[in-house]
Amino acid sequence: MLSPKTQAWLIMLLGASHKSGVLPIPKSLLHRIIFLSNCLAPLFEEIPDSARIVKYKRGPFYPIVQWHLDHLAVIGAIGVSDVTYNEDEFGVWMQARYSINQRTKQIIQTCREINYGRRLDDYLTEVAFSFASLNKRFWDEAVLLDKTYDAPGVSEGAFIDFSAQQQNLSLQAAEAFKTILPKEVVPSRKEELFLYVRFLEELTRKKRAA
Amino acid sequence: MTPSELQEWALREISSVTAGKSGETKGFLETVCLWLANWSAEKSLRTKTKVGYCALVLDADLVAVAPVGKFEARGFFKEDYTPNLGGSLYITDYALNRVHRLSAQCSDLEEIASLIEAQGLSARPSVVFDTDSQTLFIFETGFASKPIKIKLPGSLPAKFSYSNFMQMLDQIYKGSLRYPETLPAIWNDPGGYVPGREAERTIQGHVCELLKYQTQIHNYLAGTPVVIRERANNVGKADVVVVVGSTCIVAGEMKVLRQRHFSDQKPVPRSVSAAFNESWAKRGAKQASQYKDVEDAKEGVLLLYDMRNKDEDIPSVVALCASLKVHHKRYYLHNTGPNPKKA
Repeated sequence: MLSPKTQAWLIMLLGASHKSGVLPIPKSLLHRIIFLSNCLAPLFEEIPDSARIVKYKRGPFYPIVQWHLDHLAVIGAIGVSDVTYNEDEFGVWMQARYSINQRTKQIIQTCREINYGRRLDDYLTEVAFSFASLNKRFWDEAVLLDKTYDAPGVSEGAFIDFSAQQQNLSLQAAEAFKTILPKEVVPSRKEELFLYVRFLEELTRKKRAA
Repeated sequence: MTPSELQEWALREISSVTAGKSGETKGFLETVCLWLANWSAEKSLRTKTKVGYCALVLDADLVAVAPVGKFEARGFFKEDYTPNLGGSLYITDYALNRVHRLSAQCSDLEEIASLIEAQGLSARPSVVFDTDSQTLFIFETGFASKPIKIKLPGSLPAKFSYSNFMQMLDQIYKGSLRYPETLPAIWNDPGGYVPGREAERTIQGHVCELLKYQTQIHNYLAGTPVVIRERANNVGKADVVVVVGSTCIVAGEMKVLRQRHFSDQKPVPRSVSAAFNESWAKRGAKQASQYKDVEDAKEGVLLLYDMRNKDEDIPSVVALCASLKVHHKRYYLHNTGPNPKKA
């Protein structure tokens, strides 16, 4: 069950979210960013850690990742607060907020001592900041309009597998900005990432206005 | 969105993506500069704003917890270009999402610096902004460092042009390259006219970085200029290219003229001959001309950063630039500080 890669992924993502001012982050929002970071990983030549997900009524949610989050919180590697159990129209649901502590920072520092750790941390930092650059009012909804998650024909309960790049529509959309921009402007991978995430915000804004 | 609308949107957005790495000081400073530029654009539509010097200080750990003492949380600081910005101290994370404000009435740089020092934050990267004159002071490593000073425009210019580009370069030269006391460190031994190890690369990086700041924060209505460093094309790598939309405004080649080579071994390093400097500059002129053609740029320019012991043009280089129809601009880098008597 223990997967060091998944745990490092989560810890680094929380570290980057701390820098970008998104912490303490609600559970559902964290799963959204995790989903986004997996979809767009190939843009930075990273291999997605969790490239399979079931479209869930509450938005992107990984049960295995949640197990890891609980585990990390219990061993004190990350912080958890405001744990509540609520019942809404979808049923019973545990809500919590995650943050970092001194130990999280030490783990990130240790991970950054190897090349892979630095690369992964740099990528996850850019993902967290691209998300953090959005207007706060759209944080909850933007990822729901992701091109892979909201692809035509993908209904609730559907199994989404974006491990192959041709099935990863988010990646394709991000890379398509190369063709949209004038030939003189060649976007960097960071710019493609930011453009794609802000494009989701734009879609959300238009959807709300409609 | 139609394809042209999408392209317009993408160009607008891409210019607001920071060039520096996110989560690092440079990324933070760019984010703040862009935010202040947007604030400035909003100000031009307002009739009343609070006047004074404000400071945005980076401390992600401090703002991660609830505000203490006289600080108050500003939940929508990033989204709201508040008219009450002037005079106060703001502590923030790298992305302006969590912001704590200490309300104050600072009316000059000294007052805001004292306020920051009183909070024990003077070593933090900071940006000070005068809401009245709209002048920015960027302190990359805290208040002990020399600030980069940038003035935002009072009214919005319509279109970026070659003359704007040259104005920005002049400002960068006067602000940070003219004398050896200023940053970046391009001299190894200014007294002996010995440049630093990678003077050309250092100057290029410094100039392009400041150009990016300046072009982004000016809010050109007819499209934001995008500064590209070391742009690869069919004939080589253009040192600096500025494009607006699909139009290349300027392609430039930077060359450094030296009196001596760099050496950290010899007490008196080898000198550089006048003939070598001349051929080096001529090569630059030809490159500038080629880049202008291949990039289909409106203007081409040879930028010479002169570290020799004589402040004078090389006539054959000036003539070559004229014949190749590229601009010639030489910036003399003094090896001693400003001397009021000489001036």
